[in-house]
Amino acid sequence: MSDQTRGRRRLSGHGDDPCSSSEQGPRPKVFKASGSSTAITTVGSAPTASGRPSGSSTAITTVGSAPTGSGRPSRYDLRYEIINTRPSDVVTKQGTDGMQIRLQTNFFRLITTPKWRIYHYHVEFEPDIEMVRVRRGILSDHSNVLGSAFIFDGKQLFTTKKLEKDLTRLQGTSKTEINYTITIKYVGTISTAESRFLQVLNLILRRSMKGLKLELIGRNLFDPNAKIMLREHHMELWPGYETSIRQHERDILLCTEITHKVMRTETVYDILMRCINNPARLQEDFRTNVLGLVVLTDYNNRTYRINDVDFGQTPRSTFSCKGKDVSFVDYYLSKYNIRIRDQKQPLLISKNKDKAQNTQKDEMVILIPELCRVTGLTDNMRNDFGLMRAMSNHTRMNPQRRIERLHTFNRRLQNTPESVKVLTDWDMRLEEQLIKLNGRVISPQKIVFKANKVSAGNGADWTREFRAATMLTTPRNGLSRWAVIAPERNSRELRTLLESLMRVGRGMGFNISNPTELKIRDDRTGTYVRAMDDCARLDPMLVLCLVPNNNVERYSSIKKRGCIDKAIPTQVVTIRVANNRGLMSIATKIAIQINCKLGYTPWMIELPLSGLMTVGFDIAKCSRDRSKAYGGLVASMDLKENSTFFSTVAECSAYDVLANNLWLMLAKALRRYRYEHNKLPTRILFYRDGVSSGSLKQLVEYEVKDIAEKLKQEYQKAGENTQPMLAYIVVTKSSNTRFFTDSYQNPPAGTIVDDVVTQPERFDFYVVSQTVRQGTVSPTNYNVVYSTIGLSPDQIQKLTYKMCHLYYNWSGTTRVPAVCQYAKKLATLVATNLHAIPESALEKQLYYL
Amino acid sequence: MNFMESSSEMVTCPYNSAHRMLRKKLQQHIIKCRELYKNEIPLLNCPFNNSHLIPEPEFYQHTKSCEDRKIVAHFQFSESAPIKEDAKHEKISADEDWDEDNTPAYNPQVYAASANIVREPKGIFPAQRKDFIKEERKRLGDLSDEEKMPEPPPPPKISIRETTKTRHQPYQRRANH
Repeated sequence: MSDQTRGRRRLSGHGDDPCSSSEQGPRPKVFKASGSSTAITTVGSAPTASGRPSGSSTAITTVGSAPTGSGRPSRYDLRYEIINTRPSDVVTKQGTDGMQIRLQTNFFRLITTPKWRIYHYHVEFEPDIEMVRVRRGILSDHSNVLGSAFIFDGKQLFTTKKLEKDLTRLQGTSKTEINYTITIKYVGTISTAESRFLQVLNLILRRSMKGLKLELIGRNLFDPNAKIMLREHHMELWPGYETSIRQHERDILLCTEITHKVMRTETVYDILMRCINNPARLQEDFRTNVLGLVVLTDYNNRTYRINDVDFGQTPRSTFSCKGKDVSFVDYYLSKYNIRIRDQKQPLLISKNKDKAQNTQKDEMVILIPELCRVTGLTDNMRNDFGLMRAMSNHTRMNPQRRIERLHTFNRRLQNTPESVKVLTDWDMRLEEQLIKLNGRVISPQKIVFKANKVSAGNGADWTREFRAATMLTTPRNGLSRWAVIAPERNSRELRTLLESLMRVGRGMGFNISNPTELKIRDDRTGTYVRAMDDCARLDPMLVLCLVPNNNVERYSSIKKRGCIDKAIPTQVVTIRVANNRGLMSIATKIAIQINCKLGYTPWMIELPLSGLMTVGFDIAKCSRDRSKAYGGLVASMDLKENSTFFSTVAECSAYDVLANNLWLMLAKALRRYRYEHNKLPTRILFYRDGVSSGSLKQLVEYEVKDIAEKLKQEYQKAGENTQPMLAYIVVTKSSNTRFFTDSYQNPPAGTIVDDVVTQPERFDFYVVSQTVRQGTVSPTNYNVVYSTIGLSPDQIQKLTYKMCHLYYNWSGTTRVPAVCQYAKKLATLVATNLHAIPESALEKQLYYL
Repeated sequence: MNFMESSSEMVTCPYNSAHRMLRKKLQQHIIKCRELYKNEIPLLNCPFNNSHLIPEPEFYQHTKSCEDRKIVAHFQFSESAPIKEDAKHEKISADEDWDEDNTPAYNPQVYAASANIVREPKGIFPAQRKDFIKEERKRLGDLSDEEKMPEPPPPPKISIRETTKTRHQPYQRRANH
C-alpha cells in the first residue's frame, strides 16, 4: 500500500495478500483468484548453526553488577523488579539459530568527533515575537557574535563556541523597523553522553537537508521540485525523506526512509462547487463533506483541521488586525500577495488544537476555502483501484530502486555546498555506505494437516500443497445443518457456488451437505434480515448469504443479526465471486473460512512447547462514535492438542492509548483455558499491537505490571503451585527500518535481525515474516518488554515466526503473529459494523474472519 | 457536529483536583500521580477499569455502578460455548521440546549500563533526570563540566514524600468527614 498509510493504520504487507485487503471496511469477500506461481520447493532443511545450548554462553564480566550509581533511583530496574529476582544472566539478546545471511539496511553510520560539546542558550525577545521565522531572521544578523555554527529553533540556541558572557544582550531590527532587545541566557552544556545530544544532531541534520531545497511538511522534508503529477486524479506525489538519528545497539546511526506525500491539488472551494449543484442542501452537504478535514494552506505551509463553516461571512468581511479593521481580501493581498477570486464564499473555522492547554484556548483561525488544499485520502479514493495503482506505481519501490535513492540522498547531502557547510561546521560526517549486518534465516516451518506434514517452503506459502491436503480438524458430521439466503434471480450463481463448495470440501475432508435454501424476492437489507430470522428457527450451524454487491449497510445488518442477536456465524459472498472464473480456488478459501467459523482448524504448526497460550491484542476505533474504540483479544488454547482460539472484545475509550480493562479480557481467556484443559497455561505469550513506541514506558507501568500482578493472584487462587510464566511483547509494524540482501533483493521469509539496528535499552528484534514480490518488505519489530517465560532469545524469535503461520484466511505467513491479526480483524469488525459486543456463544469460533 | 469538542474535553486528576488536563493525557498523568501520592492518598483501583481510581468510602458504590461492569456481566449472564470434542486432535509431535527449558530473561539494562551508548532517561521525574544525566556523564567519562565550573552546592535531597506534603489533597479531606 502507499506510504501514506504508515502509522498505526498501516496495512499489513506491501504484497498482495488478502489479509491486507480484508482489514478495512466491510468488503464481504475479496478472494483473489490465485494465480499462484510459487514453485513447490522440497523441504529445504537449511543448515542450522551448530546448536549451542540456549542460555549458556560466555558470561561477560559485568554480569550481575548493578548499573552504575547504585544509589540512583533507577526506574529502569523496576521493569524487572517485580518478579525477576534471579540475576539476569542471559547476557545477549542475539540468537544463533538459522542460516546466516548478509543484509544491507537503510542506515548510515555517523562519524562525529568524540570531544564535542554543545553550548545551550535560551533566547528571549523584547517585545515578544510570535513568528519563528522572524525570530530566526533577527538573530541571524548577529552571526559574528554567535560564530558560524549555531542552531536556533526559535527559543533555544545551540552553539559550538561558548559566548564570552553567560548573559548577552543584543539589539536587533526587523524589516518592519521595530527594535528588539535580544537576551541570550546560558543554560548549560550538552555533552555527548545524554539524549539531548541526539536531538541536537537531528536538528543539525535537518538544517543541512534544507540545503537540498526541501520543504518541511508536518515533520518530514519533501522535495517539491521532484514532485510527480497525477493530473487525472488531481493529485501530486512529493518524494521526501524521513530521517532520524538515534542510538542503536552500538553506534549512533542515521535511519533514512524514502517516503511520499500525497498532495491533493483540489481545494475546499472545489468541494463547495460540487455541493452547489443542490442549492437546497448546500450548507448541509458542504458541512458533511468538509468538517474534520485537514487542510494545508500554501501561503504559510501549515495544516489545520476544519471545525466549522461560517456561512454568514465572506472574504469581504473584516476582522481586527493590529487595531485596524481589515477585510480578508485586503489582508491576503497585502500580506501574501494573494488575490481571492470568489468574494462570496463562506469561511472556514479551525480551532487551534495544540494550544488548547494554553491560555489561548479558544483561539480560532479563519480560513478561506479557495486557499485551503485538502490533504489525505478519502475512502472513495482508497477504493478507487485505478488511483491506488497509479500511486503505488510511484510509491512502491523495489529494493534496488530504494537503495539507489538512499545513495542519491547521501551523495546530494555530501555534495551540496550549503549542506556540507552545516555538517562540517558541526564536525559531523556521514559514512557513504549503507550499514551491512548479519541476519539469520529460520528454516521453513512444517505445516501440519490431518494426515501429513508439508514444508511451508522457502516462500512461506502453502497454497498449492493445501489442495491435496485434508484439514486438521473438521466437524465430525461435516457441515450438516446450514442455510443459504440468495435472491431468486441469482439461483444459477448459487448453484455453481454450492457445487464448487461441496467439491472442494470433499477434497479437504470437510463434508458439506445440501443446505436449506431460502430464496428472496429482492435484495433489500430488510429482506435478508427477515430471511435470517426465518433460518434461525432451524438452528443452523452457519448461514451463507449471497449478496449482489458489497453494500456496507447490508453487510453490517447481516453481521449484526448473526453475531449479536442470533449467535450464528455468517458467511457473506458477493455474486461477482460466484461468477469468477477462478471459482475453485475461491471456493477453497471459502470452505476453509467456513470451517474456521464453525470453530475447527485447517492446519497447525509444530510447537515445541505444551501448555502455551498465545494471546494477541489490538484496538480499532469506532466508525460511528469517535470517542469509542473496541479492543479485541484473541487467545489460543494449548495448540498442541486443541487448535482452537478464544476471542473476546470490549469497549474502551478512544482517548486512551493503553487498555484499561485488558485484565478482564485476559481473565476470561484464562478461565476458558482452564475450562478446556483443567489447568491454567504453563506459559503465556502476549503480543500487544496498537501501541506506539512513544508510550512504551507507560505501557510497562500501566498495563504490564498490572497484568503480571493479577496473573500471580489468579494462579494462587486457582491453587496452581507454579508461578505464571509470561512474556509481554509489543508488536510494531510501522518501523522505518528496511533490510535488503546483498543482491538487492528482499530478504526471505523467516529472516531475523537482532543486532546493530536494534536498540540497546530494549530486548527487541526484527522479523521478516512475509515473502513480498512487489515493493520492499517492511520487517516487523518485536519488543519484549517483560519476560518470565523462561525462553531464550532464540526461542522467542522462533516461536514468534511460527505464530505467523496460523492466519487461516491466508495460506501463507502474515506480517504479525496470527493472534494479533485475528484480534485486529475482530476489533475492526466490531468497530465498523457491529458497534456492540457479540454473543458469548461464538467466543470459540473465528466468526469474524 | 463538532467532534473535536469531546476530545479536547478537560478532566480532573483523581489525586489532586488542581490538576486539570486533556482527556487523552489522563492515563499518562495518572501514572505519575499514582507514584507521587502513593503514600498520601490511598485510592483503590477499580477492578473493571484501571483508570478508575476510587477513594475507599466510595469504592463499594463504584463497583456496583461502574459502566465497565458490563464486560463481566456480559460474561456471567450469557452462556459460554460448549467444548467441542471433535475440535481436539492428537498431540502434534515436534522436532524440538522446550518444555523443561527455563532461561532467565535478558535484561537490556545490564548491557546498556556498561556499553558506550547514550541512554534515555524516559518517564522519570525532572530531579531524577538531572541526576541521571550527571551519572551518565561520569559513566561515559565526560567530566569537564566539573573541572571548569565551581562545584555547585549539592541540591537538597527532596524526597517525593516531602514535596507532596504541601499539596492539596482532595480525597483525604473528604475521607475525614
